[in-house]
Amino acid sequence: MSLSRREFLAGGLGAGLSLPLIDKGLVFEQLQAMGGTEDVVVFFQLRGGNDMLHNIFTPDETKYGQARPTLKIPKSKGLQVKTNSPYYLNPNLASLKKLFDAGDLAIINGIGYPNPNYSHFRSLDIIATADPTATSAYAGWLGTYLNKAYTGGFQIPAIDLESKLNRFFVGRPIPTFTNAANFKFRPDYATSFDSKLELALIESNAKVPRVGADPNLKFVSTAIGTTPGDVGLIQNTGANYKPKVTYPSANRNERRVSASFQTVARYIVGGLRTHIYQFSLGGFDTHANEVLASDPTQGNLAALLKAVADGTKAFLDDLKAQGSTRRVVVYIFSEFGRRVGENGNNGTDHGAAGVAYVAGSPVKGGLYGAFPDWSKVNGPSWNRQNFQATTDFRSVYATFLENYWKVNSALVLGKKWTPLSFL
Amino acid sequence: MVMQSGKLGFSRHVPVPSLLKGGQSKGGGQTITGDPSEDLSPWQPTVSDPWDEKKAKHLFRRAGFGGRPDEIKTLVKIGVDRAVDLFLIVPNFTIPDQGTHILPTGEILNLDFYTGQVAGWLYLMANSPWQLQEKMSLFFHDHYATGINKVRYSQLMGKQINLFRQTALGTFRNQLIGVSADPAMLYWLDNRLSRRGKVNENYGREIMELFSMGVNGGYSENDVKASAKAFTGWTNFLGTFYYRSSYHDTSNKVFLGKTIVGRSGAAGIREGIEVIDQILRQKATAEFMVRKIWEWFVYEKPSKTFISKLAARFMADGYNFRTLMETIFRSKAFYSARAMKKLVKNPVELVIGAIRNTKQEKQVSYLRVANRFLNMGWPLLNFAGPDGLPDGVDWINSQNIINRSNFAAELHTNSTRGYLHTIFSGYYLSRKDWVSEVRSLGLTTPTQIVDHYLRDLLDSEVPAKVRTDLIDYMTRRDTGRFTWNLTTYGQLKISGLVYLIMNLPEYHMN
Repeated sequence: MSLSRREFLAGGLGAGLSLPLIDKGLVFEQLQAMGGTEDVVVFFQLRGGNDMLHNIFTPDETKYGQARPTLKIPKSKGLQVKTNSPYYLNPNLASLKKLFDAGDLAIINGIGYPNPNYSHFRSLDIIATADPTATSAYAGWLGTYLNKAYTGGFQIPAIDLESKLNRFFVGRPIPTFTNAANFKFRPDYATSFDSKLELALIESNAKVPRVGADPNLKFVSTAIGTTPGDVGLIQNTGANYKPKVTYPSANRNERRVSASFQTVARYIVGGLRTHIYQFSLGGFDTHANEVLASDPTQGNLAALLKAVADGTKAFLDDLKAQGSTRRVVVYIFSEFGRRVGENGNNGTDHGAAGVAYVAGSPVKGGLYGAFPDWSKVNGPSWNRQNFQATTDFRSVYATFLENYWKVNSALVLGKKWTPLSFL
Repeated sequence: MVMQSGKLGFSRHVPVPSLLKGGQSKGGGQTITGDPSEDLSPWQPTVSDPWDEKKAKHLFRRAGFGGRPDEIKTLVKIGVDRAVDLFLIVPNFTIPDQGTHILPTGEILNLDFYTGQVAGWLYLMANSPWQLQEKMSLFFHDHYATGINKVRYSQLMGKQINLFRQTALGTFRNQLIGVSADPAMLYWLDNRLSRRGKVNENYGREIMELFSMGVNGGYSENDVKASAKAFTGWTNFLGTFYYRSSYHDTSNKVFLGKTIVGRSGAAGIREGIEVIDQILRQKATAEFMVRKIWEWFVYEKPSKTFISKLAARFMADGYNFRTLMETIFRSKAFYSARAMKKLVKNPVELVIGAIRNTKQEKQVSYLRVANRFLNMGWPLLNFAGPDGLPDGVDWINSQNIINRSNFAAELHTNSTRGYLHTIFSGYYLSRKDWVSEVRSLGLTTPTQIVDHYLRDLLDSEVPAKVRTDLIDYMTRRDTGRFTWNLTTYGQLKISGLVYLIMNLPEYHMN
């Protein structure tokens, strides 16, 4: 159920929306004209638990070396975040460092939630529902946002570039595909007989009301009935898009990241009103062989981080080169961080606090969230030690909701969270 | 509950129960509540509520992959008791898990490759007379959700499915022991790497969280660590299970309140089995499994009290899947309105069901079906993460709708008619002859034909407007209206009709 404009104003403002609009006599159209409600967020999920200490590290902290005798990155190879800073980035994140230097990257340290759960699935449920007590993801926070707070009314407010619907969107079916070329009906595979008639019948048959039908049948009817309209938009928008920068393509992960970013760029440049995109990259569950034993700046995680950083920068550069004026940010995150210390298989086990990034020209670059406290973790069992979170992930969601999309975060998150200031 | 002595390996022989006698079933039991959707006593036909095609199709869709029209008629004729008996026949057999094999259709499969493995299994699901065995194997594949992407060897994936085939209606205990020692699982959740001092917690955690007790099932992080230590040494060598005692952590462990005495040498293997036995003593385990099975085979979101009562019986029966499934398939709850057509077909149920419902199981290329099937939201033998298929309808979205529709197109529409029947260029498996089929049924007019297929595929349960629009479709082309003639237009329009029926929301319901 989406709110009407009236309900939006009544409910939203009545519930204490931070925007003092009524006093100024602003109506919703003007709010939209201010440019706030359909600014783009690309959610880029690193599946498996991204190892914070292998992204951003403190080489001068002796405990860092003790906890990670094999994994530790030498100070000389790290990229110091800024002069006199104790924090260094993994050299594979060089592209993110460039964005940081340009003021276009927020690094969110110590992101997590209270009472960390070390299961991928519980933790994914938690970040998907924005509810640490959730036992399963029956309503994803972006599904809730689209149902309750989004007022734009566009039929494809979000696109999920995955083979199955990400839990963030549970409750709101949206187009989900990995390759736009496959997103169409093919009633007749080789030549056409009655394909126009058949396509029309597929749609109209599904739209015949099912009186008294149970929710699952209604859900499927809606899904079939709305799909043909979505197909038209997905096929026709941005069909002539060509990248104007070189995207990374050295390996499978880079090609996957680049393909996803290019699809997003295609629709943004093509003018599709969609304002949420989501895709993910797997492989971050680095229990083993996180690094090469001979060189901690190389190995599985290094290649993944390089794909993430280079892909993100290429995407933002491409939008600029294409002359896009749309406000776009990329949110790079994971379900949790990993243990402070390594585990003996050249890897790390599931942990608590992690790191997230928000990149793009609308971002106020800088370091956000306190770096987790080294004094609270101690050896010798470093692989059992966890960093405690300093920044709740829901305050990041609130930042998108309040400061970027200009909606009341309480409508989505159950209660109001204080936004961070990166937007 | 009955606990067997800790012996590695599953039983080689699963006895067929005394059900083939027919008549009153033993699997039923007394009514639990007055609500028919929670009534486990055996359903029996009455004059006003007979055993009919609709119920037989329901049983076949849930306990198997959907019936052919002739099979449905047989089930109706033999009655509900014997119909359920038929499904409960589950022989102890395995299929080859490697090498090149020729299917009875003439198609050549190489099981050393991923698509070959998928095709081989899809063939068996569509053709096995022991439908429940493959259906349970599919359920357990979703439950233990393993993927070639990490295991890498397609042969080991085939081997794991053979384990499910053999334990499909056995005990959960034997299955858990088998899974813990399964080479694909040892790769999938890293236990092959876990050893004393360098314990890998992945399997130790998931055996509880995903496979038995569920999240919030009552275990702590310390239990995870204890379980992981107990399983150190369970590793693999050249594609088979190998217990490496030098890897084993011999310290004492406290697991779910029970002290497991650390053992060295070959005896250390017993600790993993003690972990499994302790897991099986937890009420949470029985409830988690019963709920999952109920939601897969009967209906979504059963009540807590109902599940805990059925779980208590499951536990008392020694976690015997045969008894549980027999109880379910005979019960009033299973045939209640809350269950019939209330689930959404998963991709396998849709694909194999479409093939079987239209009697094309000997006629399609399973390698092509395997390829078409991969983009429907359930990459068989290739789960991305160990949590399996999402519950409910979460995974249904416009992309899946398109791929489900396009599968039906390739199976039925005209120019494509035969695409799924092509083995390689120029060689076709025989295609479905729709004109002969309707002739043999004595149907000639568009109305007769539409009514027949709506009844056959959907028990005629579609809105009236859908029916009239489909009748209209039979005498219309993109180019305009024409006069019906079965010989000229039959193949074109009947295959198109079945394609359109398979695109109806009702056909997606299970």
